[in-house]
Amino acid sequence: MKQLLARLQGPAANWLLVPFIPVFLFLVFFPADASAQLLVASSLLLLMWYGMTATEGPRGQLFRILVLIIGAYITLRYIAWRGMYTISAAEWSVLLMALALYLAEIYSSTIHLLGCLVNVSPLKRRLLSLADLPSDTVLPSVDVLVPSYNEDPEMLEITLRAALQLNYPREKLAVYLLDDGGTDQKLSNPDPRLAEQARQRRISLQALCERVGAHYLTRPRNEHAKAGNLNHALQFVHGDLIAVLDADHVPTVDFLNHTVPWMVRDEDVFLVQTPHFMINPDPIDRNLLRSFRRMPSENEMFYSTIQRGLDFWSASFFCGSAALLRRRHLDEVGGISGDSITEDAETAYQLHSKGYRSIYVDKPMVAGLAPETFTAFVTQRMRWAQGMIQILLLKRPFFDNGLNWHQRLGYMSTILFWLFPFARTVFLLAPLAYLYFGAQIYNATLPEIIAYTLPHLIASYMVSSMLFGRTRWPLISELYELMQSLFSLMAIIQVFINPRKPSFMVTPKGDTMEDDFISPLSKPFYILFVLMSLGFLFGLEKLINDPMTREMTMIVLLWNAFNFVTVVAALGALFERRQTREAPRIPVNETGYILHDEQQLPCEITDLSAHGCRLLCKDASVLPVGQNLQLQSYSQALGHKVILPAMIRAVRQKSYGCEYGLQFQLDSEALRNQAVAFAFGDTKRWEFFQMRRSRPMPFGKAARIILSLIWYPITLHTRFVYQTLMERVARSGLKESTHA
Amino acid sequence: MPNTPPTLRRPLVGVLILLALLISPLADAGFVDKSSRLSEFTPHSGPIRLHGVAENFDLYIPLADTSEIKDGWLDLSLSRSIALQAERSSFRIMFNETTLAQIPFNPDQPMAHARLRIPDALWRKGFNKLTLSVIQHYVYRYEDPNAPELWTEIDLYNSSLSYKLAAADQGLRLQDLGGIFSPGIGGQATVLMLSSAAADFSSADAHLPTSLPLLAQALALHRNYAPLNIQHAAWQANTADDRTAFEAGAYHAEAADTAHLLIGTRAELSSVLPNGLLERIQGPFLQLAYTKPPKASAEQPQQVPAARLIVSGNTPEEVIQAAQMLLDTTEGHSTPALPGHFLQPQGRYSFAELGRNTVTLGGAGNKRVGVKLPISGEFHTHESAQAELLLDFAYGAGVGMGSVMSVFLNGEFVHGLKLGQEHGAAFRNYRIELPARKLLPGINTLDFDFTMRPETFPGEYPTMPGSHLLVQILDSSSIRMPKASPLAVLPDLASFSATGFPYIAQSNHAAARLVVTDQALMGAALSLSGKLAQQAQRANTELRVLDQLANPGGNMILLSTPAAMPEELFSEWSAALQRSKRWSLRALNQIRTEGLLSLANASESGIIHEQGLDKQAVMLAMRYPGQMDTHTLTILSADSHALLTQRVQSLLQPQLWNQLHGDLVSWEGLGKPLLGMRVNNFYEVGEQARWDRIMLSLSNNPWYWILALLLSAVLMALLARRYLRRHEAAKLAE
Repeated sequence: MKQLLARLQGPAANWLLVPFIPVFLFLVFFPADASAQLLVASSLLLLMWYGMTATEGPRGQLFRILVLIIGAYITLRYIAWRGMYTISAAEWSVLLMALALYLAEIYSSTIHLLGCLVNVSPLKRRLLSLADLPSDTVLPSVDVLVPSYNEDPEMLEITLRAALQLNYPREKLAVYLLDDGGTDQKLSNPDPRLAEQARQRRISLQALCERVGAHYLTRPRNEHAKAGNLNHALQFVHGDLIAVLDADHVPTVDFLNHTVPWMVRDEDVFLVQTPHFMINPDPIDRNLLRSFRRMPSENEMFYSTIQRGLDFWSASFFCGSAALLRRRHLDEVGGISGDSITEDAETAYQLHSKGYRSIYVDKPMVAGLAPETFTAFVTQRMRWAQGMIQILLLKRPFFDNGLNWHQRLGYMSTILFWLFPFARTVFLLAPLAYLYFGAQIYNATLPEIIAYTLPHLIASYMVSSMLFGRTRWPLISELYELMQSLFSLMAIIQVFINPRKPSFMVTPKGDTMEDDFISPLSKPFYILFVLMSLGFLFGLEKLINDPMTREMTMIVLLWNAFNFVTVVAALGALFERRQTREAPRIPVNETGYILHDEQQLPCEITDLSAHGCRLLCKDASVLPVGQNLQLQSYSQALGHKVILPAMIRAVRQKSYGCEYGLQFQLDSEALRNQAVAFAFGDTKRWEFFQMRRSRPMPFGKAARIILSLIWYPITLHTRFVYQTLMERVARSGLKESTHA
Repeated sequence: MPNTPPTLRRPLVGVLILLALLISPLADAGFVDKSSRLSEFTPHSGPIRLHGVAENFDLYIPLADTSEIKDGWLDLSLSRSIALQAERSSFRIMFNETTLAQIPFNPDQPMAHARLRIPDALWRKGFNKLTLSVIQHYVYRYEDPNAPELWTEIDLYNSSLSYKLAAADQGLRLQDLGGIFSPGIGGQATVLMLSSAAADFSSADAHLPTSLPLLAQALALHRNYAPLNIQHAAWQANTADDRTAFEAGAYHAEAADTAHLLIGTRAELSSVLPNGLLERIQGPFLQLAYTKPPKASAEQPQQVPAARLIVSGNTPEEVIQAAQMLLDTTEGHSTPALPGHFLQPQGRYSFAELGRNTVTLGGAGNKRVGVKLPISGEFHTHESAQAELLLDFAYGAGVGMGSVMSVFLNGEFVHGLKLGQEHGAAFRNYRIELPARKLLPGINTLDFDFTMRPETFPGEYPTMPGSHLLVQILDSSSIRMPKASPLAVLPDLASFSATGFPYIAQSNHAAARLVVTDQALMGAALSLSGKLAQQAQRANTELRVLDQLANPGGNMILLSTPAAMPEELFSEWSAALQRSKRWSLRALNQIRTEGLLSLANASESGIIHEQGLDKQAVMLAMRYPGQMDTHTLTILSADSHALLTQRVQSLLQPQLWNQLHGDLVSWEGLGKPLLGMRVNNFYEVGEQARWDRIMLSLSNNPWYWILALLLSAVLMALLARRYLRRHEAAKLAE
């Protein structure tokens, strides 16, 4: 076969597929006995398992493709069987529910198969740097634009300082702060307090820019949100390239070093996108999973796998920040697009449509902040969901002749993914329809479920594990999707009703929380908790009193149990934990010295920010709180030692030494720049941190972790509700005694 | 009477003679005493239970048109709840809607035996309806009509109907054949087929190989599902005395009252029939008449006349034509009595077409309406296919809590509906999907179980009597069959027993042979052919009966003793692998466990009969060895011809016949269970729908499926990798 293929050149070999595609399709659709199906599915699963173990071998890619094809076959066969034989109902209402469930399954399978296609061969580009360019290359000028709306100036200062320290010729680099919080419109707010706040913000940020060497830009009116802000700035900047950084996105010093060469090499490249590396856990991780140091963050699957997959198919897109854009191309499409509230993806789509190319550099060079609260998290995701559906409805990328077929599929994969709230909600409620109302929305026998459904689930899991195993733990996607789905569903429906209605909502970043509290968005999850708990009771009653449907009831109860575990875990994530630190500390593994009293004590820095750090000193002597000292370490970003003055804010004695919390005492611009470069300037640190978390997690272990977590939220919520009640009782008692 | 005084002996003898005369057969000339268990008239083999305040149970007792019945007595064995009130509880027996008796409840005698006479005038030809009904109460007030105390149990097995039976005093015509072989009371369960000893089975112009199976099937079809024991004998009559004896029906002395069938050309019959009758044979000839037994004499008691059917013609071809005519008449006449032909793929059948007319059920309690769905043995559809039931039904107002309709297919629950509308409801095209995998070859039963409960009220009389309740299923209801192909997976004795497949196929008249290694087995073979026709509800006109193995080809049933088994059939068995496949260790062990040794043991030279089968008979179905085309060979064997004949007659009884399964069975008598197992490889048969056949093959041979899939997947993967590598190279070169 191989020799035959080698002989056939060009598209002729593809004709070999012609007789086999009908065979494949026939094998998808032909009806068979459940026992035969089970035998075939089991054999195929075994083959998949073997194939997965062989993906690291010399023919790894072939086995990878084979696993994907067999997995796709099992899924397609399941969907075909479901559609042809399991949807029937005596009543319209039940039929509608059954169709909704089937539609949700078709959707999930479509996304799964598109995911397989997109990620079949994620592109691993070599790393280019400016040194790779010919010596006579004239470097393009770069304008770094940092749009801001209401972010903390301290946060902006770090971003601006980091941007100004980028390794790039100074004369070719300009940094702009685009302040939308100090616009003329804001200054003339009818509310004098708000107007004054805006004025103060403008003054302080202008001073900040002047202090650090950046340019301050604002505009008359807050039109078209971030896209409008950037487009306004484009009138005043004239660089060849535009680097966009969100207010909380701090670049490493080599960001331009590794992105600009792609622009220089090919004039058709309109975008060089890099990953967003999150230095703090998102609320679900922080409140429930608490695995920030060992579990890949939620966006890692997208940036480490999917964007590379999209890049392979020339469909990697602009993610709003941490990216370099060519000014000329932007001008061709009238700047950043603003028809949708995901201006980034829309702009990329328009330029792809014009035949320009995008590059994805899979190297974490921009560190950002994940939303701190669940509300902020949901706000961000609702915007993404709405924006993507706006693109689907307003731009219809699948029918765009400017895109080639794989770009269309790539965009459809990206956009359709955001319809998951529909499917997830159906999967949540479907078992309840059976348990409460006895609606037979899945007409299949136990042998059929074992022969068709179970292999489909296992195959889907195996494929996901092969594609994303290193960047996403099992069952985590379900949790994240569940937590977004209820809110995003409503947001999506709004877009379907009126595609132009949604407005840009800025994601709050850098929030602090003085106390623990339950998220105000938790009410739907309480309702689900109660509904599913009652579902168990209904199911048990059905199990005992209705022996004829016992098999189906057992299966539905298992399904409900899975949903229940996810909902309980979600409740845990809704318990917002106290966070007082304004700037998150990044876990690091650096060595240094404490310079104190002419002594040089070796220490290990365990976390770090531009404002302070925590370090571990094994020296027997204990320094007191309030002690001034200096921290000396080597900065990879700057290429030399840094000595930062600091004060001890906390001391904790451990069996193996002493742990100190230091606050930097930075009294000069140079020191502040050094601190920012030391904390955020080193790409290798992010890479090391990312690599340490990137490891496959077996399903059983992930399930054990989730199951071990689900009791915690129940006790946590119960205790919190009890304490709140007690406090109210105590307060009312106090009031009564005061009155008396 | 050794102690009786001599003076009294003479008058006593006279009285006894008078009494003897009164009760002698002469007084009931032609009438024979018969008795039947009531369980023979219903699928309920054991007791039936009548629950609730009022309930009844109907039994249908068929009576052949050609029979007369009198002096019917009903013996009922019943037991009743001791909680019943004597003055308000009673048991009523009705016959053809006429009350025969009302039996009050005696609390001191919960186990009761009732004997009552059925007036002769109440009997009807055709079907007679026996209704057993109860009125039951256990309290005066606040009575729960569904209380568990309200029950009466009737043991149908130990209840019986005894009667005197005689042939109706009427001349016979051909259309009376249905009455003669009626499955009801008075119908002949045995027929003796007589042919000339000079007629052979092997010559080119022999008519018996064709005509005998045609006749056997025709007569069996008249019996509907009741077994017909066919015996075969050859006459040697050459003299005038023999002819007289024949005319008197006494040729076969031990079965003088058994229906006879004479088959032969005019020339062959000339030795046994009078000239007057022979002269009437001018072409294909059929005649049905009673024999004329000689008058009773001192040596010979009066014999009962027997029905005799003559099938003849001037030539062998005309004899076959006559047999075919009989079959055509039979199929034409018997169709209404049958539930209908097999349901065809994608066909839509109304309940009326399936023999179920509109039925209205009234009153409270449990009611059941059944519809029979005959499915062919070569009806193949995939496991997930659904038949669609479009039900037109209604229920009246005033139903109470707990009123439900449950739908069962072959006893398996498939759908339920709560009857909850206070004012009743009517449904048209109420759609229920029936899983096709639950439709089996043969007669499937679709049952609608209605539990009807009246409304309940607080107070002294918490429930209505329930007489207002009604439910109606209309004959416009229909069933739409799924797409299917005329394919089957064989060997399968269950399908064989249910539909006669593959020896009688629905799709065509495939050639099939019944081969006996001795003419003593001819009767058993013909009985078997009749049974197959009954199960298939049609005859196979291409079925031939032979007395030796010749012209291999087509499906074949072989009846033989192990010693006479033709070796050429097993020539392939010389290979050890084949042998082990054909006779698995499991099968051999199982048979040995039962105290037997195998029917045959293969060796290098073929079949060696090592030891006998003892009292067992064995039936084995397998792919016909050594043939290019896929045909089936079914072997029936026992140690002797007599034993095999006897075992075949036992096998044809429903008790054993309905147990057939697997591809190898052994059985002894009616009282012992049939042992079945599967020892042979599957194979598919069917001539149409290549795609369906491929699908069936893939389903039965999943390894081919995996192979085809892997081949496609590997090729796709290779081409995809080639494309991806090129694409990647292009991307990296950018």
